[in-house]
Amino acid sequence: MNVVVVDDDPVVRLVLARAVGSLGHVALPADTAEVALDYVRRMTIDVVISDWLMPGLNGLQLCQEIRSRDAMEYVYFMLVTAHDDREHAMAGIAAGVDDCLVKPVDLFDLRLRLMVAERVTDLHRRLAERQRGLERTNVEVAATARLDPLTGLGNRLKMSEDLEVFRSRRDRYHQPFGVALFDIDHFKSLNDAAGHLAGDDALRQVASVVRRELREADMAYRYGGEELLVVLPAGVRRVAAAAERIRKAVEDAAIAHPGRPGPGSVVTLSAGVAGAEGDVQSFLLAADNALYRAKSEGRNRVMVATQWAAVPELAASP
Amino acid sequence: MEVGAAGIAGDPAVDEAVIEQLATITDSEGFSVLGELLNAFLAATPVRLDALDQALASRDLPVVADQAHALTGSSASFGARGMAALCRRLRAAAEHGDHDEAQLVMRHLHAEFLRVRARLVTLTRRGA
Repeated sequence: MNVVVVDDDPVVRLVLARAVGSLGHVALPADTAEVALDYVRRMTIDVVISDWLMPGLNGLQLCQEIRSRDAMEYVYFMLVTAHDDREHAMAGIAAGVDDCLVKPVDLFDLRLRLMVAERVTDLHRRLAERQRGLERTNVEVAATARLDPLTGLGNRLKMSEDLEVFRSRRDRYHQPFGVALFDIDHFKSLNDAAGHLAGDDALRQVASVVRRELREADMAYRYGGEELLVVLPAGVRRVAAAAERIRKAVEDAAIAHPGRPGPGSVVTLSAGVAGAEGDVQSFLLAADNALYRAKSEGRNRVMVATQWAAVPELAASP
Repeated sequence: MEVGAAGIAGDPAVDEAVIEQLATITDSEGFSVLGELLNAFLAATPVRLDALDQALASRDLPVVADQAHALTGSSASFGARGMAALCRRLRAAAEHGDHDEAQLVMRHLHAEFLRVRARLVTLTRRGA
């Protein structure tokens, strides 16, 4: 264990430090409580053995300082008091001291007390580890609960949470954002022709192409069965351009679509883009309407909600 | 226990059971560090006694009380019970503002330290 030995008398400090070292621990001598505190702040300290009466902070104040830290590591605190000093011993224990040693410190006694200290600090360490493990698990569970297991994209829960964050950022800092709602063309016929497993596989491949096309700040979610929503922190023109890039990337990926007539037909996407105006429901509805337009105009294309404009024209203008 | 003059005749200056305990303390190589500990005490104590003399001469009784308290701890750590008792008496005298008593106890303390030193020096030679 790392044991800080605090005593303003150099001779007593030397004896204690040597005794602690002789018992197989690392003794860190400190001539004041301030020096001891510095050790506690800078490194992992298992035990502090401190004299009561010292210039500057006394032993009790040192203990209180150590207890008030916001740290998981437990420091076992032993206070050394005079033989007839029951009041100080009582006050010490009440203030968070773990054990009191009587001066002059009996070495056999010290050995026993340090064995107890080791057991207690070990227990505290295991508790802290378990606590950290639980916190890690909680974080993982929270992340898993927001993940679509098939595509690895965010799910509806994650989507509504994130849209709220985007929306409040927009309202507070005037940061624009927009959404692109994608739908796999003729997905039902793919499922019918090749089975649901093939449909799942196509969906997974599309999601992976979409993810590759996104930047750090862009987000993608599985919106419904074969619908994906992409959110970008940008104005509607840039969102439309990104949607077009994604549409083309999926087409170029040449994912086989066995449900469509003709040899060599591949999976394509239609998309509806909307700038995020007003509340979440209204711009999602706008994107959905645009998607409907994209479908009815022949599929494999991107439409923007406001003007019902096809995107290649938009992207070409500055 | 009444500690009047420089120790009661037959009363050992140093409790050797304490020294035996100190002799069990070893360094990382397993060698006894008793010599180092005794030398530290023998070097530090005259400095404390000087400080006490000076504080007494200038009637600075709070300093006398502090120094006496410190010396109680270190002398007790080396089994010098007589010295520790005198230090406690000196501290009490200083705290009560009894300068005369403090001066008397101080003389006894000097004499008692000579006894303790003689014993410890013998023990260091024996250990070496």
